[in-house]
Amino acid sequence: MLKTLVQRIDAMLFRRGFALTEARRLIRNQILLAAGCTAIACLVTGFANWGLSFGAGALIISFNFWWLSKAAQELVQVRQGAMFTLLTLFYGRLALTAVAIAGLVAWAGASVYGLLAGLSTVLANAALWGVLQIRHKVPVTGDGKEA
Amino acid sequence: MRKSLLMALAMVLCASAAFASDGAAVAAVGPVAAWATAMGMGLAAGLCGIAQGLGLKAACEGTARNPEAGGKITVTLILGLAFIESLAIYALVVNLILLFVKPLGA
Repeated sequence: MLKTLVQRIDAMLFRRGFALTEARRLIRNQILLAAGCTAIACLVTGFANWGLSFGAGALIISFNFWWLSKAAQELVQVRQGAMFTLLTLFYGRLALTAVAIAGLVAWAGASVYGLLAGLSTVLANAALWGVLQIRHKVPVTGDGKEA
Repeated sequence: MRKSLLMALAMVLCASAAFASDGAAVAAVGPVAAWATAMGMGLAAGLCGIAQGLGLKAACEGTARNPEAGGKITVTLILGLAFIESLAIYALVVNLILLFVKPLGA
């Protein structure tokens, strides 16, 4: 079931323009991690303020990471005439994130610790990805005298 | 240099006003917090912007020199940008806490 879900997410990401396999994996892991942690947090806290704030933080940072990855892919392989749109999208995304966080903290009365924990899911995802990369790295064979 | 001296002077003046008397101290924490959040967010945004620019510059140079490594460089760039931007977002949250949650008082 998880395999089917992963394949579906991968296919959806490919359709949305994530051509690089590794970038697609990163986003997919972020989506799964954010959704899983939010579900756990909401169930454990009984849909209390902390759990909902965690979910809001995870949603904001996942949305942010999605657009950041798209922008980074486009920026490295610069296409003619797309720079202005790209920069507008980049700063628009940041402005939206700031407004959303300000609204949650100032007006919605979200739990700040929950929000920070939710925002940290992207760091957890990156750390996890780094650890997995190190584990999957093939050890160097030979004694180095071949060269 | 002159600007930073002026800013430091302004902060010292605000702090002295805040600690002038017990009654006034609580009331003056608000403006000082507003100054602190403005300066903190400005510093965080500026430094994170410089860091992201440096990362992007290095990634573009690396891709131009070795186009075959573009995929790996892009993934590393995405991770680096995410880390840097997380710092800016954390700074934003801390500043919003200072402004709206007011842990230092009214």
